[in-house]
Amino acid sequence: MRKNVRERFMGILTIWGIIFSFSSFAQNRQITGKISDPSDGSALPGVSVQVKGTSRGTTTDASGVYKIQASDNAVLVFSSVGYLKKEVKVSGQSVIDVTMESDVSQLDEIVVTALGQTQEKRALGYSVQEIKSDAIKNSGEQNLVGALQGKIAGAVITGSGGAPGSGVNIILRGITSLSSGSDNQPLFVVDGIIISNTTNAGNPLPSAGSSSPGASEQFGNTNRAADINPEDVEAISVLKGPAATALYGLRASNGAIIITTKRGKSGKLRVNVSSTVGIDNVSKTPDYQNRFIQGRFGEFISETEIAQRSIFRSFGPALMGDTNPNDKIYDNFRDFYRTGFRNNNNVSISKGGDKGNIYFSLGRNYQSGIIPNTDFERTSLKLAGLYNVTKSFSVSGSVNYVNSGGKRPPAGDKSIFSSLSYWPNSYDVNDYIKPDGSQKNITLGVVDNPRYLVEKSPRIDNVNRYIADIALNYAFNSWLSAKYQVTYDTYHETRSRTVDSTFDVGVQVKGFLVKEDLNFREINSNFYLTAKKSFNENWNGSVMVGNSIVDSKKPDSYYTRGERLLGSNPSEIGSYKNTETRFYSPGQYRIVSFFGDAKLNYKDVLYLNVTGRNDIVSTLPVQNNSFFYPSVSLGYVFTESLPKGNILSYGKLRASWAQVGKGADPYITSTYFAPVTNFPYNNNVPGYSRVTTTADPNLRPERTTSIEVGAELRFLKNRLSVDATYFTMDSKDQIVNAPVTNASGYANYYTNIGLIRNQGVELLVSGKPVQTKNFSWDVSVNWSKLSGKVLEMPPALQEIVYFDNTKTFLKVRQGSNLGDLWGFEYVKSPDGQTVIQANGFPLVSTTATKVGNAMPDWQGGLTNTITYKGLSLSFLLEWRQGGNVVDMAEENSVRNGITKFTERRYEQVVYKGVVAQKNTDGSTSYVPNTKLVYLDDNFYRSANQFYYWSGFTVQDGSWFRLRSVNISYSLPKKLIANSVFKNGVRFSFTGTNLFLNTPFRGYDPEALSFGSGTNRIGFVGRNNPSTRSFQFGVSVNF
Amino acid sequence: MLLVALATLLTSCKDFLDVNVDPTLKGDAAIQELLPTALFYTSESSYYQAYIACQYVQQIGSARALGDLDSQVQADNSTGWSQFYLNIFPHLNLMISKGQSGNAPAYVGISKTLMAYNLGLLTTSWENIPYSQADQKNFAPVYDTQQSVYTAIQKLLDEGIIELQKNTGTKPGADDLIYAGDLAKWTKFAYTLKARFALHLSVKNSQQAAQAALDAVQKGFASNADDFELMYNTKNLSPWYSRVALANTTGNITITHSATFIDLMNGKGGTVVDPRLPKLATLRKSQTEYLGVNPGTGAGASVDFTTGSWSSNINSPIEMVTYSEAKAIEAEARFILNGGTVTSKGTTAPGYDAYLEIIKANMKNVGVSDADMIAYTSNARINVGAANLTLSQILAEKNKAMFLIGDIWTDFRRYDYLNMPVPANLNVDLQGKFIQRFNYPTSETTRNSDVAKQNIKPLNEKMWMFTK
Repeated sequence: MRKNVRERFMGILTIWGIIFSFSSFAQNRQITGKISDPSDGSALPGVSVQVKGTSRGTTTDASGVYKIQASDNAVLVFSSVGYLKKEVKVSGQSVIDVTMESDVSQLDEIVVTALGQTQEKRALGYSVQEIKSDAIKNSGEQNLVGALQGKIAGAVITGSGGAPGSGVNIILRGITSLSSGSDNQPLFVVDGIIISNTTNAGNPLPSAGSSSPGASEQFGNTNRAADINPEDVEAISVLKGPAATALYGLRASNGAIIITTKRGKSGKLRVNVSSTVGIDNVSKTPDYQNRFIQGRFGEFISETEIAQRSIFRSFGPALMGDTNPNDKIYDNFRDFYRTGFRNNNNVSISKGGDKGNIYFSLGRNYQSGIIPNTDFERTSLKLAGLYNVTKSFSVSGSVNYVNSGGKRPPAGDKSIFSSLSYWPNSYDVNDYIKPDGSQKNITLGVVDNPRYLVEKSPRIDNVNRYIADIALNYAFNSWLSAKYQVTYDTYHETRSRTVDSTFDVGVQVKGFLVKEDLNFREINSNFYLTAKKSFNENWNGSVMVGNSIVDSKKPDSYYTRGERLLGSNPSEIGSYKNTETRFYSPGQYRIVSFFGDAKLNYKDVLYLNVTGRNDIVSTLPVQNNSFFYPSVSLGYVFTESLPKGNILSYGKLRASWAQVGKGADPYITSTYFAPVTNFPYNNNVPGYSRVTTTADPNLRPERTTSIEVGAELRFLKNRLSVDATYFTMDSKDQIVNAPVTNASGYANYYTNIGLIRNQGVELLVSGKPVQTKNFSWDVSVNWSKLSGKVLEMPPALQEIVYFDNTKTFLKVRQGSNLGDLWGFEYVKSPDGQTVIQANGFPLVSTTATKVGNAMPDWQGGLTNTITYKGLSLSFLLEWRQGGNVVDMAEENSVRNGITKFTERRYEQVVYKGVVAQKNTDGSTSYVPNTKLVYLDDNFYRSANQFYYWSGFTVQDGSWFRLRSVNISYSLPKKLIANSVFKNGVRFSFTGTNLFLNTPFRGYDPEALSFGSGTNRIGFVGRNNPSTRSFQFGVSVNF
Repeated sequence: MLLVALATLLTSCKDFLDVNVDPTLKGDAAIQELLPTALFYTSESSYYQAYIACQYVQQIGSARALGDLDSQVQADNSTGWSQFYLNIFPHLNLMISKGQSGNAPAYVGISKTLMAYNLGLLTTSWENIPYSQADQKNFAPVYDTQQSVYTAIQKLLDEGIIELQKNTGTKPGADDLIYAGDLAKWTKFAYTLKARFALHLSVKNSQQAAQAALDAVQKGFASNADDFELMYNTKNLSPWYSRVALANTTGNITITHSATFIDLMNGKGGTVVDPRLPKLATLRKSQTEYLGVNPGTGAGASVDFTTGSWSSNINSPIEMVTYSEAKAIEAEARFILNGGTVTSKGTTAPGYDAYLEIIKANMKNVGVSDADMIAYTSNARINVGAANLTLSQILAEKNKAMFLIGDIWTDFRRYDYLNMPVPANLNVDLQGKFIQRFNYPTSETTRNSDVAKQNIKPLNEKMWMFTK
């Protein structure tokens, strides 16, 4: 029964098609012509040829030739991505050959918008930013999301470290969903295929022995969009706000990243082979103290005293130099890392023609990490094509197979990075193994040797993924067409990690093995019916109606954990005494949607676009599961109404109002019982526990309403352009998984709450200071400032704490800004001075106050591209101003006397502050502190006096960096004109992260501890540090 | 035609969208699957309470740093709180309703008894607690006063005993992880609890409390075999074993025995050397003298919890209520009923027998040889005779017998901590006094803040039960 639903939809929509009556237009004259490229005069296939003011149009074939009927006084409009739109009056001609002009200033740019529609940017009433393949290639990034860093106004893109394959998190226009762990990332769409960009944390922890705050910090898991080979990408459109994404509906409520991949273009067979090799080094590392060796209170503790006294603290005597020639200080924060290697090879073959086009690519990327024994590889195979069955019917399809995976270093609690913060400077961390193969560990098991840990216990993962689609296009006539696309995305991931009982994290369970199986599959069915109508010379319009059906599921996903190794093979579950298999929630949801889109264009001056969408979701209570939301946007090219001037060459105003609804997480509306962890008791008595999350039985969809206004101005014949956008986004009735009093019987409650307002300004400025025949200089700047505020909270919830590491936490209350960090200041006097205690030290308050905010104040990117003949230099500078970060590893390295910070010791200081004095009348007065105190281990190891203090824990995470530098050189055409690679040879050098300036004391602050796909921003330091890379590449076109 | 199609579409659409139930979880659980959960978490929650409370009373102390819990630093025991309200309370309620509708009075009786035990653990830690409005999906439940909680506890126990004695319907078996379905033991447990909670109110009215305790305890535990304790196994590891002793082996040292406690047993200051000492504490390498950590300093210990210690080996149970404690309740009740006070001497013959039985029962329990036991109990400083017995001797033996059982904190507070030394680095917030309560967990102060605010009291303020 259910299986037939999709067919039924098809049936109905076909009926609609028939109901529409066919109409025909008068056709006067047949015009033919050939369109050619300006650079080499080669034929341009796929150019759109349109009769202006009508919906009649065609495209050029493989040899660049078109045929079209038009009246004598008609105007033909020629357009193609990457070229300027050109208009030619027919004026009685029957052959019109056109040489296109390259679109250097991106005027009349054609961009991809929601549902893969290609539209003139001019016609849009909202902001869209498009990134071309060159910019992606030049970034030197293998993760598609990472490749966008510094290029998108209004996006906060943060990596989760430099381990190969690490996830990258992207948030467009701020956080809209408050629940802890909720994913605020945009929807990813590749050629109309919605793909999963989930980051799966899984459950890698043993049943006892870990104090990790959650699985997400344990390994820098890959965000699944990284499966897409950047070499396949032609362009990326970033749809930021609800106005742009309204047609995608609820799943794009955080924006959408629309990826268009390469297709066969030219009539000729094109073969491209490219290869890059490169190296990676650790980027910034924390400064370490190099004066004191191991010990306590200045006293040396030798290795022979280990059994009695912990040796690992670096609070011993100062280094004597020549008196103790064996004493040496190591920079373990840097020396731990090695040079990583990367190699990326790609072959692509493409061909286009009037019968269709085809694209094939094979890419293989291998990267060994800067952490020993870690790597990541991705092999991608893609086949995509279009076949014109008849003039009006075409079939297209694609299959992308990706295999990725590698060995990941343990991060977070009881990991490399927590261990490094204990390891004494006077011991080389790489001296890690005894001749018998066992661990050399100076800390006697307080922490593991990080090197030994990663050599023996990396996590090994492997993903097989298929992304495929098939699309049917049928043009009923010149004005009515239909498209049906069915898409499929599926992956299977296996993960495995073995930890033996000698490790800190394995000791309590006597060694363990965790194997995980993660599956995902999603089917999307999309149907669109589009009608275009030209009412008269001035008015053009189009209407599209459609239906989409989504079925998404993570079937048969589970972990199996074995604990207490008995057998001989630690990688076999059967070797463990206690085993447990638990299923992950399949999280299945289905959505049925109907949508419509109407566009109206007056004289190419005024553009109106109205959309509406109704979603029916499986995840909300039946009475509330269907919801409708509209959008309207307006674009006005006001310069068309002004006399032509020399200064302002183009000006457009945009305004839009849009709503987008959002459903809930799957399954939350029912009560469940789950097996108790580590049950059956003693392997024979089962026990179940009521699941501690519940939901409001009357949960409603949440709704985000956005208002966006903007202007696009181009000056001096388009040499300078400015694009500015201001937006507000109100998220109301947000569905929040609110932590509630446990006395309710539950820990979390899904309910609709409050109102969150995000607002921001996005600015794009680009210019061309120099442009001559051989030399050009392009500059583009993007800048954005975002802020989010909680305007209303329901009376039942005073605040939502969405991460808490006991010293610092992320929480919001009514009136809070999103990303507010709370922590503990020193106790202050009424006039705000630090109160010094009788012992001469300040005291950390036990009352938390707001101490910072993890969201940047503003951020910007500056790209310069200088081209001289075949030589091109491009570099991207990126700023992030503000945004506090908490270094989760620094506390231990301070407590253990390792960081530079603690070099200030064994000195007497007087704390600046006041001392409280009781007066005889019972009042208190404050007098300046004069007490001398001594800075030693006790001070650095005191939570109350020091390391819980927010002035220490919360740091400024601002940075300024040279994100990437790219130098490329294309061999002159003359030189290779007669060779097999006459279509171009390009050499390139790419460097990333070559320069970083930040006040932050730890590693590069751009390495989220909790990985991608969570709300827990602002916590760093316990994940793999970022890298600096140098790559050299060759690309040859045959 | 279109309408017909649309109608079919909408019905099938409803079916199509009917996928919102997690197939990997159960929608309900049987009472036999809920009882193990409630028992397991009752034990876990008792461990978390004891971990803090036993540091406050200097049985154990921080081996890690100065100014830790044994300096009476505030604690909120958020884990214990959450375990009760999330993993115990709802399941007991479910078992009560399922047992009532499904003819399983034994489960009703067990659940009411367990509810009483857990409520006692909570109210002695936090004073006022959510009870009558708890587990009702109420997100701002008011707290019941301690007085009403004590009334509820006795009522639950009386009702529980009636249900347990019905001896009909579905009875537990292997799912009863503690008594394997022995309802007689459950009944004795309920009576022992009645005695424990009656004596808790000795400050209010000592005679009344003692009489009620004595009446109940006589129907309570009769031997060590009755002890309410959960036995762990190689899959479900005992918390003192896995979280303390095993963690010690990797140097993640947390707590060790307090000098105050060790000094009760090591002969220091004229105490009698107690044969339980080597069972409870393990000397560190190359150490010969038993020394505990000096309270509040993190230093001075020569002993550790190891995987060989009685309380922290792989087979160690979590003891919650023991026969020894029952005897201590009896000894104290009889002492009070005999007109005894903190300063007086002398008790009745059965009172004296009960005192000696505290020691003997506990020594048998921890595996002291009969010879050592006899030697100890016949030592003149222990075997003082009924006429010379003091309350502090009863309490000292109760303290030893209740090593790592958190309810001992209640006894300390009933008698103003008696002569417990002030720890180093005493929590300044206590203003020189001893700690009286846990803080409410932040999950309450931030999520149920209006209600919590009305119930928050200073750490050094005595609870209702400890005031006249």
